[in-house]
Amino acid sequence: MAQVALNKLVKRYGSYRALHELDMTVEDGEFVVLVGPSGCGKSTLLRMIAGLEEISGGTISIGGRVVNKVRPKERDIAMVFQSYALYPHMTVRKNMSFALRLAGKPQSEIDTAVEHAAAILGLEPLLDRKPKQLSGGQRQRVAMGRAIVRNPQVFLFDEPLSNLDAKLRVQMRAEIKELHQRLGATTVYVTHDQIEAMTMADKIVVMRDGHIEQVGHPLDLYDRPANRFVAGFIGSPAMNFVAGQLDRPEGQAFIASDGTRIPLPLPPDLPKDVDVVLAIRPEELTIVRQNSAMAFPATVSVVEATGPETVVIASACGTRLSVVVKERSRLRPGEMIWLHPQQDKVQFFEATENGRRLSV
Amino acid sequence: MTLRNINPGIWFILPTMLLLAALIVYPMVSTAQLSVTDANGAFAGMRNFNIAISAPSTRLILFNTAYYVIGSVVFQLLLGILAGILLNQTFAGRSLVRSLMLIPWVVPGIVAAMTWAWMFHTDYGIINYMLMQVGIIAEPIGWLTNPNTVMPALIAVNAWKMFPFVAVMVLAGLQSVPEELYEAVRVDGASFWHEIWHIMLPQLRPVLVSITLLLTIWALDGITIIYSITGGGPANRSMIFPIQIYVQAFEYFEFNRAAALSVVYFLFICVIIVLYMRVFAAQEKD
Repeated sequence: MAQVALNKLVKRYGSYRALHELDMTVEDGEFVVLVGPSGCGKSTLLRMIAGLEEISGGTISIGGRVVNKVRPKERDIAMVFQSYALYPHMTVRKNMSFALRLAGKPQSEIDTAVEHAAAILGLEPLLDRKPKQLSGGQRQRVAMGRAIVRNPQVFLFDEPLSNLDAKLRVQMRAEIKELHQRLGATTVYVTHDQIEAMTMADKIVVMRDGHIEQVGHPLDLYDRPANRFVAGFIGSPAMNFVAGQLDRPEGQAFIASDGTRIPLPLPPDLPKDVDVVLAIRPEELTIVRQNSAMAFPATVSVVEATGPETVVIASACGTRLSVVVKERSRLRPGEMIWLHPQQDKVQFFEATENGRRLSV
Repeated sequence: MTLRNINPGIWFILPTMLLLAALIVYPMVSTAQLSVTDANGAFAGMRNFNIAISAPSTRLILFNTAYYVIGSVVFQLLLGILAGILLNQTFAGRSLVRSLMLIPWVVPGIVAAMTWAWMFHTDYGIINYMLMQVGIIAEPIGWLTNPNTVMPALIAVNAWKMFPFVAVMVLAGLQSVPEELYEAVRVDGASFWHEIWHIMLPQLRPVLVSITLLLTIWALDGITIIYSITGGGPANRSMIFPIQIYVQAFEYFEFNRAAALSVVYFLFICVIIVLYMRVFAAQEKD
């Protein structure tokens, strides 16, 4: 197993810069998820680690060895592709043993490795089938089996679950996580799905427009996003943002842009004279039926019952706010309610598009 | 049954069926009829067949036909696959090369044949000239008059003429291969040769099976090149079945014997195609 380190890594396509001087380390045995909207460069980064894209600047090292000029097959990596890329004319067994056969390993060793991997993934009954006779989830497992068989230093996953239906995705998510706990292999996993990132990662790397926005443990990113982008990207339903101003000099309220007054003690270290955005997670708002000193008014727009919880979307402060409540709700659209923010959870960001988090 | 009860689908295919009947079924029936009658139209039983089959040249012609078809198809496939794979790689000037490659296929058969006939000419042909300049041969070779070189020369012309078709089909087939498959084998440790052997050729299989059948059929009825270059000579050494049929019918005016030869040839082709379908269509299923 090995560490993967990026040092000032750059990818250019002509004059277009796809990745801007990225620095990042994946520790030995760590499960790192690269997450971001499409076009953020996460897949490009993964493919550069695999050796399928050229490196325009900086270095990538695997296990302490700079691999910029090393061909994919000599990097000791295995990759699971979005489309699985199983060899259609080969049986599952042949698919899984292909790399070992190319490497000229003895047949007995190949058989042991394939059977071991097949046992881990429950593929034994399918070994003599061809890919088109398998379901999506089974193909996904074969693709993982093909990676495991090689016992590589690093596993790379490129959106491996995005072709599966929602239920299977949840199941395979757990299987991949379990596999990682079992093998303890260094893993880099690309997804655009922040829930996958949250549930699977030891460490999340949030990317946007070829930059790394934030690196950290999933819950740290959730609780202390570095900027508005990360705050909005991580979490579902997304974090609520309210544009407005601090009520200076009293410092006891936030005035939303439509004039709504949200009473709360402002942290003393907030910079003055900057436009700010108030941010609060949907589960950190409480619905109250009567006005109170710490609440602000809202009108119910939509009520979405999911079973374990209810998402209420309300118009307030000149925007729409989502509120997650644990109990079943009898609220009706158009009803007047008051929202009560948990004061210690409220965060502030600079009002610019990608504004930094302020204080707390 | 009234007109209304007839399946409406019948009306849609009827015009085509009538056209096919006039252009294919009628000539076939007519040929079969000619093959069992004599010049006066009287029933002749198998006599035409006996004469056609027992002719001393028939065995040579059969051999030549097989030689020409197998040689042509093998080299057309080899050259075409090679060209298709090369033209699927990225290199400067690729679109230009792709267009230029089509020239042999686009040139009319008769033009290509006459040009090659001149190039193969013993005394004035550029091929002998070049080989002698380089010193590979000491004196001119009679490519088209020597019984041992005439078939290879004609096969070369046919391979040259048709390989771009194979290349275009191979190229199209390769472009439908998902990029991720190449990447997967590269990560798995494959060289370019492995990519060809383990990804490209298996993925091209369905395409190759179809074009092999087409090439075989085209070689089996390929008259233009041989007839215009050698006319089947020297001494029948490049004579193949379709030309023999043509010569019998339109040079000797032996329509009944030509018809008998046609029927024999038709059955011969049917056997080849049925065998081919048996072998490859069966493999396709699994």
